[in-house]
Parts: sequence; structure tokens; C-alpha cells
Amino acid sequence: MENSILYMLRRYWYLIVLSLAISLPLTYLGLYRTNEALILKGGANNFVDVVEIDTDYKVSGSFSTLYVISMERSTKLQNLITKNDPTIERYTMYADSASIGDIDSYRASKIEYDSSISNALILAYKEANKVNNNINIVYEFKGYDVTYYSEKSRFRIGDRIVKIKSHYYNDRIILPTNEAEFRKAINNLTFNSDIITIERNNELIDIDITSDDYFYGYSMYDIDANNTKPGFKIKNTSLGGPSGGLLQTLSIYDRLTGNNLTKGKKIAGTGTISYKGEVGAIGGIKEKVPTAVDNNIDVFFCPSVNYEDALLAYNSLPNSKRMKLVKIDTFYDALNYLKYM
Amino acid sequence: MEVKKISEINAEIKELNVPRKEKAIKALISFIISLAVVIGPIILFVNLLIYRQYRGLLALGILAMTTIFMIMVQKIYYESIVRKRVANINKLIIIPTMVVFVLGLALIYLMAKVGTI
Repeated sequence: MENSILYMLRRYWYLIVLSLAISLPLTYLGLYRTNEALILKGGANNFVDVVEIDTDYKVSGSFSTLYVISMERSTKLQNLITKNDPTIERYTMYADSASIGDIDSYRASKIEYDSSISNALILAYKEANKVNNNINIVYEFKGYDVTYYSEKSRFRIGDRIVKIKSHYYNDRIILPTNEAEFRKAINNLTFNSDIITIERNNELIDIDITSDDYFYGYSMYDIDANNTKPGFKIKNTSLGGPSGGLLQTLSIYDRLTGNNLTKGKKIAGTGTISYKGEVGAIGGIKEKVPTAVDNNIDVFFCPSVNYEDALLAYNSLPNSKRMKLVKIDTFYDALNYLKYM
Repeated sequence: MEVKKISEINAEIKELNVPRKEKAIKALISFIISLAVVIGPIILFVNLLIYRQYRGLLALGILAMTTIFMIMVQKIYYESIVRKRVANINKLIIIPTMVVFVLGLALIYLMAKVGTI
């Protein structure tokens, strides 16, 4: 037996040397995760392929959401490979973000995406109802799902905030349906006094808030698909995150009203959406502008807060001038631009 | 040149009466050596998957390394078992390797069709 093993080691020594020289360093560098994150160019998704609206109207142009490839806790090897690539954005993650695992990160991005689609449907249907009162949406606010928590926090991804008992509300038990109000409330919690009730695995849990219990959440709605007219269907997708909200709303609104907002053009952009129509900041704008140019987009809507970075990226590209870069603050800004385009 | 059937080659190997324990250890060593060689390039290709535009090529690269791994494991194993006492052992390697390769190609094709790569 010993002879056999020695025979094999003697005969294949060169493979062992090869693996030590090449495979071992590659394995170490390729598996060692750092606290860095990378953002790369992604692509464009025609939103008609994501949410179907039960209508005969055919969009002449397109509304596309743009996505980037985000690699959190990139490996040493990835950092080395992308070191001198100017098209890739890199940043150091906060310790809290770095402590959330890949699966939870993915779950969080799906929650954000679902929240965005719900907000887009609600806003688009409510606005379309002003044009045609046969268009109706039936929905119910359910709470806020946690998408981020600090390292020592007792919250977890997917926890649903259902009640807040806070000094901010004079100790009344309340849950604001307005997201801005919710954010104000959680920023004004009194530690060791206020209580947040969450639903986790169908169980209600009270959390006495301490300074360690930081978290962030997104509003969640149940939309009654059976009583919403016209009907809609959301297809499964691997995309995540809330940054497509504005374009999702425009796309749904266009198909509900049949007003030919695109006028045959390719419309894209980025920006989160609240159910009141406010467009919020997003990440990866420096990668989304070149992605839009690569996809021959005609009009790119950009939130005001991201506009400066978007303009820098836009001006640095040699072939960008065909595309119009439009700064907006609300859904209504984008709608007005398209109506008078 | 004598052309042997796979069943004949297997029969010759069986006649060598190599103890099971020795076969198991040699199989394990073959597996470890082959894995040690290909794991580095496979990890390199996986790390490069962040480049969306090259995912198809990288998938083919991972398939190629997997195929090389299959060939190496079997070759090292059979060569260490037979020690040149049986000829044409390459015939034993071809079919399982081709099956894995074709299945891998089919998987890559399906993934490309649904837009995953």
C-alpha cells in the first residue's frame, strides 16, 4: 500500500507542483472575502416583460429599468482583477452591512423590489383612475419588512413591523402608513422604553428597543389582484432592489391609460418611488448611464440627488449625446416631460 | 493493432485482483490530485462571473475544467491500478467523460436560452 501511494506521488509529482504554484494561490485569493463592494455595468429590462397588464394596448416604444451587477464582500481576486478598471465603482462596506450574509442580502433586495413594484402599481392605478374611473386598485397596507439591521440588532431580514409603541406618539400604539412618517418615528425612538412589535415566522414578538437595535424597512402592501381592474400579473425575476420604481410606475401608467407616453422612443431611468410619487436616490448611477447609452436609450430619467454624478458619467462618454438626460424629483415631473416630448 | 472492447478491458483489470482498500485509496488520491489542479482555474472563472458579458464563455471554461478533472481522475486512477499491465485503458475514460461534457453543454445552452448567462 505504501509503495502504491509513493508510486502515485512520484509519478504525478509535477501535478502536485502545478497545483501548489497555481491552484493554491488562486483558491486563497478567490475565496477570501473582503469588506469591499464592486458595482459593474449590468443591463436593461423592458418592464413589459416583468409586469403584464390586462389590456389590449401595445406600447410603441419601451420603458426599461436599468440594473447594475453588485458584488458585496468581493474577493481579493476580484479586487485584484478589477483594480485598474475605471468602469467599475468600488467602496468599502460598513461593518454592519458586511456582517449580513449573501442569502439575507438577496432576500433583502427581493423585499425592496416587491415593495417598489407594489408602490408602482398603487401609484400608477390611482393616477390612471383620474383619467378613467373604471381603473381601480384594491390594496391593504400590511406593515414594514426589515431589509437591513445593525450588527448587534435583534431584528432580522424579513421581520414585519406591525406595531410601534413610542414616546414619539405619546406612547400610543401606532403604525404609520406613510413611509416618511415611519422613518421619522424610527429615528426618534427612545431606547429602553419604546417597543416595536414584529411578526416573525407567524409569531408576534415585542422588542424593547435599545441603542443596538438599529434597522431599516420597506412598506409592504397586499394587492387584491382579483378585484383590481384591469388585472395584472407579476412575473418571476432574479432582479432585486427598489431603484426601478419610477420606470415601473411610468410603464404601468402608460399601459393603463393607453396615452402613448413613449411616442415610439426607448425610455429608461432610475429612482425609487413612494406611493405619493416622490422619486428617491439610488446607487450605481455611474454604471447605469453607460448601460443606458449601450442600450440606445432615448430618454434617461435621473433623480435630482444623483444628477451631478449622472452628468459626469454622461459627459465622459463619447457617444452619449443622442440620449437626453433628464433631472426629476417626482413621478409627475417625468410624466409631464413625456406628455410634452 | 488489437482493438479491445470495454468489457474485455474491465475483465482484464478485474483479473489483476487489486484489493478494494488499495483501489479506494488510489481513487481518493486521484480525486485529490485532480481537484487540486483544476480548483484554482475554476475559482478564477467563478470570480470572473461578475463580468456579465463573458458569462457564456466562463461557463464553457468551467465545463472545460470539469471535463479535464473527469479525465485526470480516471486516468490517474486506472494508471495507478493497472501499472501498464493492461492496454487501452483510455477507452474506459471516454464514455463517462463525454456524458458529463454533453450534459454540461446542454445545461449551458438551457441557461443561455432563459437568459441566466
